[in-house]
Amino acid sequence: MALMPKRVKHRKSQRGRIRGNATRGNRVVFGEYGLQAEQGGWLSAQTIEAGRIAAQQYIRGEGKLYIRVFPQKSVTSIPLETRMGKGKGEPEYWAAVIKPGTILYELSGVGEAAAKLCLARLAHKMPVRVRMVKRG
Amino acid sequence: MSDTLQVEKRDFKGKRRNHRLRLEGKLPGIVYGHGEEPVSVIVPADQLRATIRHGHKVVELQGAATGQALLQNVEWDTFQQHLIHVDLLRVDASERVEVEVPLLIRGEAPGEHEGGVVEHIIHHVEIETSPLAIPDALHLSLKNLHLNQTLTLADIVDLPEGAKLITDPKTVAVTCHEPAAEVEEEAGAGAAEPEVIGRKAADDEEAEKK
Repeated sequence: MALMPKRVKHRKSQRGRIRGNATRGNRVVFGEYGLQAEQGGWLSAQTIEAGRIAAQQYIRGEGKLYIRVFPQKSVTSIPLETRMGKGKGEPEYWAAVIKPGTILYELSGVGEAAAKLCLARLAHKMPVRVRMVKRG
Repeated sequence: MSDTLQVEKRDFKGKRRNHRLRLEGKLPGIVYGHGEEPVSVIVPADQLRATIRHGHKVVELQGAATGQALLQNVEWDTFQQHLIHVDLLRVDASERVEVEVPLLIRGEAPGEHEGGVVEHIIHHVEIETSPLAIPDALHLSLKNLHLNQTLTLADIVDLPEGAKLITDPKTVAVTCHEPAAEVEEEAGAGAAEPEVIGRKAADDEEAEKK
């Protein structure tokens, strides 16, 4: 089941701009290894879930995976072949806003070689360029 | 053995001037402690990088500030590529300081062969020690960690002589437990859309009719 907020103040949000680097959530704090975004972008709830499944299938209960981002932003779209106007579309999916430097996932309880392979599998699912980082 | 940092006095503040300073290969920093006035300084970035690379925690200051100083806080950029700022705490060889030291695990736990998973819970410990004897890291040996057993901070193998743990020694640092069973979540178990704060059910029905 893809992640989604339980309660929101507003169903729809404006698109916004991603400016600057991440000043929070840019260090590995829970695990020993992490996946850091090098670009900004939106990470949909489905993508976050796809990454989680890819990583957990690899580590198979050995280590622990931490997801450091949450899809707080609703992204709307208007149906195909609809005339212009008539207001904003309906929420289509939920996304996390990623600034460059944000830690997306963390891994603990696995060796460096295993973590590297696991995060490489996970990185293939990501819509932004990422790199592996160590705690410290 | 400590490295030497040649520091200059800095009489300006602000991000623009400090940004220009970093482009010149220098860093803004501050020296404080021992009840003396804090001094804003300029530190050569390459000298500080070398100190960090050598693993030294205490430096010998020359120039605008003199004496020994502890690298209290080193600030890096988002990607941990460039140094941003350094805090230097004046220290004396005869005094004791409280510092946070990384806690690493060493070896392979027998519990892993028994089907367990090692979980490293505490990654840093606070110790009180002489500034000249601050260890790079403290280690916990896993060689006696069997399934369903734990290691506490009291099991640290290389605490230097004279150093004292400030973090409670009974704190569990590493555990070896059975792997958690994967929870298969039912598809479509949650609501399709989140609840909107402040909106009543009647409003929703009206909106649907429209």
